[in-house]
Amino acid sequence: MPDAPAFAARAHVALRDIPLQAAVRNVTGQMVDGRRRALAELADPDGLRDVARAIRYRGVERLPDLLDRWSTNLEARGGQVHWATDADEAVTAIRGIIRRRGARLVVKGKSMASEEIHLNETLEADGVEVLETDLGEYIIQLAHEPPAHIIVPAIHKDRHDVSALFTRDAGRPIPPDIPAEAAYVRERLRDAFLTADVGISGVNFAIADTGSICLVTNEGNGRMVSSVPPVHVAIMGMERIVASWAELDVMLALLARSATGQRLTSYTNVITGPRQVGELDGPEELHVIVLDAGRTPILGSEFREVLDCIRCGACLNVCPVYRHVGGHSYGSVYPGPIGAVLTPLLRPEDAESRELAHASSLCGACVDVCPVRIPLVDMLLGLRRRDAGDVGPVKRAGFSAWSELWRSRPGFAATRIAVGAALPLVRRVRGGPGWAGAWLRTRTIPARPVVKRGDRRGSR
Amino acid sequence: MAGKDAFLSRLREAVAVTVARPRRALVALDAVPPPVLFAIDTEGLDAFEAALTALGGSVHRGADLAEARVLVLQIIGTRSPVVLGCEPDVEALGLEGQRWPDCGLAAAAAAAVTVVGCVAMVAATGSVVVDARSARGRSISLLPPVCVVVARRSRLVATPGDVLRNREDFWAGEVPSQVVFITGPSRSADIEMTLTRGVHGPGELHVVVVDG
Repeated sequence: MPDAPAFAARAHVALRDIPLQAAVRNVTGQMVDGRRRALAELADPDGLRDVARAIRYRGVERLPDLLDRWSTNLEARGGQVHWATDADEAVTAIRGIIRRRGARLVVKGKSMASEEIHLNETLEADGVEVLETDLGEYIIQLAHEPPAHIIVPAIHKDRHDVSALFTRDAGRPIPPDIPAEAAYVRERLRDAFLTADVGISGVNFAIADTGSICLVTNEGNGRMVSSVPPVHVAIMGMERIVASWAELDVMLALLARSATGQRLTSYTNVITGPRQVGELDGPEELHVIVLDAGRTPILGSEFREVLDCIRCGACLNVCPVYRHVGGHSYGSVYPGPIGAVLTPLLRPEDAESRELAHASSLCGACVDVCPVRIPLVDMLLGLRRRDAGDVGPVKRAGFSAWSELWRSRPGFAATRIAVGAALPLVRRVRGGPGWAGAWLRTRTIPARPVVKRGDRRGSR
Repeated sequence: MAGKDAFLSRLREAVAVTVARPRRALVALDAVPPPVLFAIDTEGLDAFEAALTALGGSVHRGADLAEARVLVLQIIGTRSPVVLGCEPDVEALGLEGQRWPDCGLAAAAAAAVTVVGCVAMVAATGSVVVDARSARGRSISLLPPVCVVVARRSRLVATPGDVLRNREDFWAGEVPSQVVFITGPSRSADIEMTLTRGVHGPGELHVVVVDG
């Protein structure tokens, strides 16, 4: 780790931000409760998670075949598929479409993949107006900030923050009243939907059998951007595919329940091609950008299962680290446990992202809630192991001895007593002795084992 | 820009790499995954009504077309203009209003109320399923602030899977360019997790169910 870890610096700022702490705790707490209630409506939620995991695992194993079949079917319906190896190719493809159509105004639905490729900045530099249309995304676009949560991008803004941003945007007072703020966005964006040249969205799932894409939204902006403008461009992480509508049924039963505690989102939209003969509206052109951008190396690695992720955000909401430091501390598009694994894998050239694997207590709450059971803790450990490299014989022997000591109950108890007695002395030394001091400042020896043997396994 | 073949051949190399088998065993999976089973009541119109009402939508029941017509007129009240979908269930009501798709997109965007049909109602989720083929478009159920959906009771199914897993029963041959499960009014909780309705789509959703 570098001397002044950027994550730690950002986290320390976030930890002093009391309103942020309260907001994040409120939102994640509600979502955790909602998820629990919604999953209890299923007869066998854990069994269904096993099925969902198998669907995703098998889907990722067969990814080339599924994408091949899907793209052939979509093209047969008049859709166009663009294969983007990296962010530049994705942006180039989208700029090409925009230039050919002479587009001036782009309306955009929520898309994490578009955040990965920094699309808005590039299009705006070209002189194209890009409007985020999801309420939360619109708020953070006005604030010039990245999303702080996968599902609730403006998790850190309260009604007063929003009122200030909207008042500046509108040039007239928009009161700190949530219905009034939502009404302003409806009015502000309505004309944009009707006059935009291009709509851009993400993709929740592609479906190979029919060449479809599925988009789930609550506000209706996802339907707007895919229905009203003459061109619809959808950006999809290449792994987001299922084979059939039956598989989609399983994934949809878990996605909204895990994300927001809903049975389904307000609009679960399956799109198969642009406007067909006999339809009055719908886009003339449908383009899907299939984005690799660092995914293929993951596919061929021990971390393959991270590609099973369906971006529900459940792991963020239960993560004690996320709940304390919020999304921006991670400095990446994907925060929380999934971000701590995915970001260093997607951005291997970014040394700073490696420290994210350490932004976890390894408590395993994320694994407990993941609808597709991604072994995030194993992966965090795998990333740490990989980055540690060869630590040399001395450290290895030391850590082995420690491991042996703590593997026995008497050994652990003895350490607890010894360190408990020594800690006040050690802490008195200003700054602590070297790396040990840095380590001790933020850690303590638990008074008693927090989790009894076997408990964790039982709850998964 | 990579071509499809180059893109997929890189993927084929990557998936061919043997990675460690997952520590936790995978369940066996047939070509068609097992159905999603519910612990809640998913049978009948009462279950549908309970689900939709919980989301802030409302269900109105008419014994016949004449009753359904009265119910729709009560919902519309003094609001105008009204656009009418082209589905037979809507046309059978003999309502006054601008007729989609002849009226055009601008009329749909300016309407106060829209009356549309649906291909299914889903009890487990309180959803109505609309599609771009029977509706002859995508926006008519989306643009106006009030959406009235007219449905024959026989269109009620128990679960989303009853539609998703039987798509040939609903759309023989090719699927429409858009199939939407509308589950309650448009909503957002993006500010302080406080629910607001009608952000971009309709803030009011009424389903008028006609017996038979």
